[in-house]
Amino acid sequence: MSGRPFLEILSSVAGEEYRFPILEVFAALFALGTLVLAGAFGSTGHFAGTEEGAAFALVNSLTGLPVMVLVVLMLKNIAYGLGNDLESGVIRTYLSYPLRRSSLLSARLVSSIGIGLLLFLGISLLALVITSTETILSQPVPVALCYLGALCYPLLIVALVLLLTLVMGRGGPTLLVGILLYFASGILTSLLGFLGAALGSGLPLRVFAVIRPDIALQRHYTTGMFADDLWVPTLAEAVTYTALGYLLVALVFAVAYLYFSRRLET
Amino acid sequence: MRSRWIALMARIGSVLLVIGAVLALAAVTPPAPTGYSSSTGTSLRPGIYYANPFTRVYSASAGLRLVTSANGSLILYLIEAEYQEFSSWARSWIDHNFPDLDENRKVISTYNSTVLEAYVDAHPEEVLLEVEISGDGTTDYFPGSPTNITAFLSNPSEAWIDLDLRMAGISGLVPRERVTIPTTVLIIAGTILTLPWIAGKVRL
Repeated sequence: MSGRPFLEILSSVAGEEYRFPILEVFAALFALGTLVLAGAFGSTGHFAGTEEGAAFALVNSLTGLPVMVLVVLMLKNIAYGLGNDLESGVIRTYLSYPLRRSSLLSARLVSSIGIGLLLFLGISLLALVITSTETILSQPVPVALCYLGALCYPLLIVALVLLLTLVMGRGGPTLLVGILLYFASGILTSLLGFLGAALGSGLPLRVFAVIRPDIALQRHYTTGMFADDLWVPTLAEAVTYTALGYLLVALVFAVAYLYFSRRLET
Repeated sequence: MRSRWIALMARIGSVLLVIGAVLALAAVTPPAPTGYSSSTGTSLRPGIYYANPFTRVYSASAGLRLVTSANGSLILYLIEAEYQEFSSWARSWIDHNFPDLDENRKVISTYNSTVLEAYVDAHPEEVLLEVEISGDGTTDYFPGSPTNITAFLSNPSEAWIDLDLRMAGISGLVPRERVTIPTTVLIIAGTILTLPWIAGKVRL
């Protein structure tokens, strides 16, 4: 990979995607969302039974709103930003750089996804350090697993939207698909929970946990909230679901890379 | 190339400034009552303490507010323990040190300030706060991590003291004392990083 063209493209894409004050507005939203949720969690004081459960519940409560903001930011960059570049032919200019197609896509993704992720994780961890230093230091495993679980499904949506945008060559409809997928998962989780309870089986939730491993992690750590006979996975099971989830994310990204490198016609 | 680096530093700086500003805003937002509260009025004999038996879990964001009104000086202790733990320790301490007292006297003696002081001496690590209060006052306390807290008010004087006490849960967005340093660092770093870009714009 040639460093300079990569940085040139990264700088150009980032400059376009994060025009002043977009980055600052999202930073403020992340910070406000995280801190307000930290305050709200503290005021309710609903700590789970174990220390690991309490740490997981704390991080889980902090990620809800900021992850939604992150999804909006990433979808805007991929569907709207890349979609526009494909439609207007800007992508052809980038392809004229002495750079492999896969590196070009990487530069694009570092800007579209990497910067948002960095901002989200940086602010979230800063809020955790400020409000609950002891929790993070004493329970690093549930803290890390909670972040991994919370980010898996959003990354899968982003990967799917990326692939769809590349295949369709435009971003409008894929933005809608991304938003629908994000909100539909919440409804589907509840429906599958009811279905599982009606059938007396945890199978629907187990299957869904492959794409939403945060469900497996929540059911493992949040004791007392779920009917024990339905499905309470062990830590090893929950970690396996998380690994499977990321495998799926990596697979969809790999297909998108292959398509961009070999099939994309500009 | 140099101007690009200056622009990049300025953007990082502006983000740091925004985060610092949000933290500062969260820090100056005053703690608000969270709904539950308990009030009591009592007269404390000399050498007696009052304990609120309803231990609750408090945290860095969910604190405790004590509004006191007393016609004398009292010592307020916030102790990191369940009231039941304290109570059973006090009972065994009396059994051990005053084995000859009858049952009634033992129960009454549990409320002597000397028992509370003995507990404090034996468990100094559990004492979160020890302050003298008199007249009308408000004490807010946020522990560093999720903790069970029981409040005690001891009358060390030779006179009866009338006490009105209201305890309430309060919630703050972030603990102010923990935010001060990160906020200052973020704002200073943000300002330093944006200065070259601002200087360049002013020169133009």
